[in-house]
Amino acid sequence: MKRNWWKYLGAALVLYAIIVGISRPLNPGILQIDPIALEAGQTYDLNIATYNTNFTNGSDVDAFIKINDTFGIQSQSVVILEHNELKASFVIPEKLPSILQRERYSIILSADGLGTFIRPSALSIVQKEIDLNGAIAAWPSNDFGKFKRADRAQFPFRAILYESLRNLFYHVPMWFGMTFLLLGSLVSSVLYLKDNNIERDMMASSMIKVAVLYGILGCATGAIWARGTWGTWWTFQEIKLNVSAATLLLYFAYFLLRAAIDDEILKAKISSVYSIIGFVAAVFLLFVLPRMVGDSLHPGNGGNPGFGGEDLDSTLRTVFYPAVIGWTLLGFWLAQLSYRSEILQDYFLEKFD
Amino acid sequence: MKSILALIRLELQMELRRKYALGGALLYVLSTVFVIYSSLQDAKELPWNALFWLVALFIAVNAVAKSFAIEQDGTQLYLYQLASGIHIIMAKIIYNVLLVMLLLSLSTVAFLLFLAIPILHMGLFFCTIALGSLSLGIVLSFISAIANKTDSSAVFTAILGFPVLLPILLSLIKLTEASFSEEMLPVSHDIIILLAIDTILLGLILILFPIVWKD
Amino acid sequence: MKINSLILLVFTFGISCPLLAKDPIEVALHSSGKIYLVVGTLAVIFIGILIYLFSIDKKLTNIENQIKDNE
Repeated sequence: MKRNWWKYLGAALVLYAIIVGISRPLNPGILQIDPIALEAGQTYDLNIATYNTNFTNGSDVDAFIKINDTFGIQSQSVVILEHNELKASFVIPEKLPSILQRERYSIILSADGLGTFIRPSALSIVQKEIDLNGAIAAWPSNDFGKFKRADRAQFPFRAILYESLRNLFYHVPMWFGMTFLLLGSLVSSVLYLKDNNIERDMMASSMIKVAVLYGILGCATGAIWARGTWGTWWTFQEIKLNVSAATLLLYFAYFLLRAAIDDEILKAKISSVYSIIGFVAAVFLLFVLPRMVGDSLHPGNGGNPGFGGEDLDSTLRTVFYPAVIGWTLLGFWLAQLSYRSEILQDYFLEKFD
Repeated sequence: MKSILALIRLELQMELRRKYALGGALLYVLSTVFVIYSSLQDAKELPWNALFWLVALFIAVNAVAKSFAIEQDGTQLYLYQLASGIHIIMAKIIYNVLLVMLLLSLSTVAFLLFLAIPILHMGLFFCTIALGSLSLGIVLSFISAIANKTDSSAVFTAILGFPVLLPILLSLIKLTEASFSEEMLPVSHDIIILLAIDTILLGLILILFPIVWKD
Repeated sequence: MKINSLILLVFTFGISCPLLAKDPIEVALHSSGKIYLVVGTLAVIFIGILIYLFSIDKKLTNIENQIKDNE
């Protein structure tokens, strides 16, 4: 138990990530609004379709239209149509708090138990004349104090991603795990070159084996996720996909190299040296190049909205960090299994030769 | 320092005697340019960037792969046993870098003369060639030292070399793309990255080569 | 002639209609909020790790057989 505590910890963390990651609900969200092109001075009945809501006739839901975090109006009335559809009536004042004729406004819904959710820049409102001072009176400040909080922990709602947001806990840790395993193999290779203990080289090769496994799984799960959100299994326009593939190529070459040399000691030396050089290249590929290129389809990079508040919502973080640690520990466990089988094979090969 | 120069002179002498790499590489330059010329006559907008670097890689890998292959000579082995590992690899790297620089310059000239490649910023282009030769020379010299321990060293130079060269190549490609474009694109980041990766790799190679060489 | 062109029209529409129908993958994803992407991800990871475990198991079985043969 003392020696294997980290394996059980890893398994427990992964189990936690799977259970909470799947069962914690998403924040409700706003899917569609009809109509979305409005005019100042008119009254509208906005038909709003929502996601993951459970409205009943008695639900107390408030609706607001706001802009710039400063100006907002509340709806005159809210009528619940279905568990995920409602009708909010708004009277748009004659004057808008905007210096443009047409600008985009956000819509906010706030419900008991579900919390407050927003669709930014959802409505386009047009005004005929611009009168900022006159408008400010008609649009009370945003300090409503009426925003309700959710009574349970929820993951953020992201358009396009929806439930697939949960892949954050399973796809991304594959890459973190791969990186930590490669780091471990680097340490092992360096130690081997220092004291020529062949077991260290076997450890390095086992770690790289699992790193490649995680890399392949990361690419496969990423392809599934991409097919559902970007519309394609793979694209060569995305830098992260290209550099991940390149890194895998590099370590495939590592195994080819090992297969091509028969003498054990030479094999160990040459492959250790190559893995050290390869690690430098991999670091540049995986971490330097994506930051340099900037443009990316991945959430959180290249101008795409991230997963939550600043980069990671706190509700996501409580599952994400344990998931990364758990999957990484699991990876090291798999590597250790491979290492032990190699050692045994070597031992019995020598015994019976 | 003197031993490094002596080793470089040795490489040069062997090269002049056999004309392996230089002759072969010149042939590569001319034949690839010829293939491109004859097959892409009608195309207006050629992917110059891709073409140039394909040719450059082809030439560089073949030129450097041969540098460690000519090891069977008895006199060579004797001299190598006298010199220290670091001196040997430094000599090989300097020689290969200069060789690749020569070959890439020849390719550029061939592209300019026969294919009218539309390079707008010559200075940047030659700077890129210099950086590229440095990177390719350093990496390929070491990779071919490793690959030489296997049975099919030329194949392995390519297999092992390409993934390690990828981050370098991506930066080089961005630099040459900037030299084709009319505006002055910001390239300082790529140059810094190239220099950084060259320095790190060179340092590691100097440490690691003696280990490989002990056999 | 008129009947022929009518038949041709119906035929053309009949062929093109399936093309207007939604891609079954898209339908499955949207109607369930794309939870199937998560299911697919977990399934792929699980299968991958299983394959790896099988290969380790096979290696151990080989070693055990070697021991048995040599005793």
